[in-house]
Amino acid sequence: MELDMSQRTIMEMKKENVKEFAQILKTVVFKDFGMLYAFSTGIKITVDDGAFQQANAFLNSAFFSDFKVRENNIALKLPIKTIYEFLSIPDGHSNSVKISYSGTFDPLKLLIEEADGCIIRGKFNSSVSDQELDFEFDDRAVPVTYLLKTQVLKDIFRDFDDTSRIVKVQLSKSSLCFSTFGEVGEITVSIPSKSLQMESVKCSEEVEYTYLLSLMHRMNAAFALASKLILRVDDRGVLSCQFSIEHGEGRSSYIEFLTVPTDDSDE
Amino acid sequence: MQAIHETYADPSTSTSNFKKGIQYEDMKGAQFYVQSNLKIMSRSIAALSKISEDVLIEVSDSGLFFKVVNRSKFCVFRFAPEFFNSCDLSLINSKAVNICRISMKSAQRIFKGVAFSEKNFVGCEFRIDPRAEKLMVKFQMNYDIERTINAKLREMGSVLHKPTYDRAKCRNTTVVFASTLIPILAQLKSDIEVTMKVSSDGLTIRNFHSADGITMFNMSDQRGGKKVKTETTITVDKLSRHKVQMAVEFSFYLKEFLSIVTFADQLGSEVCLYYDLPGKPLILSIEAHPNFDIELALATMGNEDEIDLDGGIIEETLLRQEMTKATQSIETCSHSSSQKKSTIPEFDISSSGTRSKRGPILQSRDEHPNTQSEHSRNKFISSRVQEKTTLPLADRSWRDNEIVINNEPQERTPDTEPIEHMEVQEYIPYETMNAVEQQTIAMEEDVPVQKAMQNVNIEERISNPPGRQNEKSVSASRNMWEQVEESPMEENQEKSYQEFDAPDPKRIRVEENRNKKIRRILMGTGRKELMRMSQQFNSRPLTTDTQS
Repeated sequence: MELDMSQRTIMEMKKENVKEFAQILKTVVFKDFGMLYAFSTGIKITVDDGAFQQANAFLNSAFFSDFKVRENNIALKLPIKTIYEFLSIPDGHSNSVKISYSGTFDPLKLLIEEADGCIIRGKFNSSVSDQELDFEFDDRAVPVTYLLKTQVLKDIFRDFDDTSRIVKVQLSKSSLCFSTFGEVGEITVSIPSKSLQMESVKCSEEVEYTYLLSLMHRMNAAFALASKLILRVDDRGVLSCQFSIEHGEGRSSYIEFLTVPTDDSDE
Repeated sequence: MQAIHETYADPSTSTSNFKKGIQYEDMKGAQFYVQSNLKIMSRSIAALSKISEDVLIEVSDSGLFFKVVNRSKFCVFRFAPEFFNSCDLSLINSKAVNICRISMKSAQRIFKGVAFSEKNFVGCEFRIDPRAEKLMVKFQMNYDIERTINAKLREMGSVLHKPTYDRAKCRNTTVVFASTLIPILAQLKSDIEVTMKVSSDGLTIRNFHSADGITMFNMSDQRGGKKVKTETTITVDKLSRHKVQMAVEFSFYLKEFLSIVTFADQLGSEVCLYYDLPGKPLILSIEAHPNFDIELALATMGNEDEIDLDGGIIEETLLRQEMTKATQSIETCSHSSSQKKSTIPEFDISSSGTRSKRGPILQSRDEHPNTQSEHSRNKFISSRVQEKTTLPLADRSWRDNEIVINNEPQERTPDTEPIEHMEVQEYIPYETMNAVEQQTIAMEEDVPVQKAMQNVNIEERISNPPGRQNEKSVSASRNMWEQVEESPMEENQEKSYQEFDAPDPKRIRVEENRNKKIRRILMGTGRKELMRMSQQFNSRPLTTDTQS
């Protein structure tokens, strides 16, 4: 769809290799609807389940081949699961997508152009944004920070005992331990700080929190795509996992998951 | 355990506020540490998972055992102490019963991922205390990561049934590479049961068909028996060892058999099959490794037509009868007693009937000269009785004698009934009569001759008195029996075998009727049989029940 000069869009962007975009979206879309925020520096896609978890994908302007945002405070509530499925339609890497938005009450328009000339158009209606969950994650009140590689942690998360409802995370200076309590009994995986997977550890206090396994599983897709992870907890036990995804040529995107701990006592 | 404390981030100090419950590090029990063989252990659990829902883990001085039992199937995986990199059994009371049970799902979950990502696993430590509530498994993975599993143990049933089979009693042995068997069994994957037919030439495996078209599958029932019939024969040259004293044909469940053969194939080793007549267990074992072995015992059954619904009780008791007679007759004929000592050799299938027992002894064994697999280096095997099977002196049942009317060399047919060592005294009245009367139908003098010869040999094999006890309970009928027996015994010594020219069809008739008869005994149909039933309680000798 050509840009109509008479009708200015408030934002438009173009991305080559739709697959890359689809992959990142996949890591955060655990709900049907999400928010899209556009800034001059990039876009942020936020999905949350209303109570326990929020996922944010940060795609900066370098991610796109063409990026124009003409207004501030663009916030759209969109059916991002459907958008993800739309972006998954084309196969291969030689395709591109154009995204444009003309303002409130107008749909978000996507146009995919494939190498063989095939064109796929999509119009997604936006709605007024809901109240946003603010986790109030205080960056200063973080007792423990780990910088890890995702390679092994990915398998650890995938192999968590599915019969267990919770995962108990013990964060200490010497190691990071995950425990599950399921049918088979207790399974504990511990990563010592001296492991090569652990790049840096900063720990002022040893803490232990419990999270629901189902929430942890939502991060599996992010593990698969990311190369590094920064794991932090704040003083309330809110877990923050920041994944960094390399796209090559120095470009990178970030995904963040914020998870609230459960109150149940350990088994 | 102290060393492990250090690497394991010392939970007791850091999170002591939070940690409740037992300190797992203080577990007592046997400790096993394995590195390179971990893959084999995980595969063993995968193989056992197809057999049962529980695994019994037993610890003893001779190592670690994984046992599973499921109805008629029993399988044990034995890991010798040398299988492990280090093994500490000091805390185990060797006199106590050290068995614990975990569910198969738990066992599978413990070893999940080990088989695939073996490069990630450096080592594994097991701490097994059969009396504790938990079993500890600690994996050391690459990048110093540790995975500790405290698996819950299940309650043990109060009675542990010990399987009662003896490998040495199996008269047929076959050793074959698992890789030979796998493609054959893969074709039959959809079948629940397979039939294996063994002869001196080789081994034939086919899918199980029942004569009346009803199989385990309801589907084939609807299709009216139009199942695809698959049959594959492995000739002796593909078998590493094939020692068959009698041709047999029996059926067994495929699933468990296949899972163990798959395991053997993954190891690249051979499987040893020990089997006997249908009804006797089929024992499959993997003995190629010095540090561990596997044994699977499966129940077998014969062809449906010849299935003995009584489970072979009738034949067995008759055998006992003969045996006791044999002991009696031995006193009367010393010649035969000396004879029996020399007739020890294994029976060659193709030799002519009972002649060989008396005539020049045919020492031909059915082993093929090209390969003789070495005696297994396996420590479990060598510590047992020598692998050679007990040489049967009589591998013909009571049944065969009837058939021998026409004195053709009797091939070991699938019709032979299982000879099971069971004592069921109440059946004796029937069968004694049965045998007697059938002999009277046939040429009376001939059959007992054969029988007598057999008796002589049977006596060697089963030298226990129960037969005599049976005999006492049927005094009246015995008399008749003895009269029939003893007279020909004398003749037996002097004359050589006579040629009998009984017509062929007669043989078939005898068989069929006998089948029906046996069934009727148990089913209780038929007037005659009803009469017999009542006889049981009167313990009166039965009158001749004429077979029409």
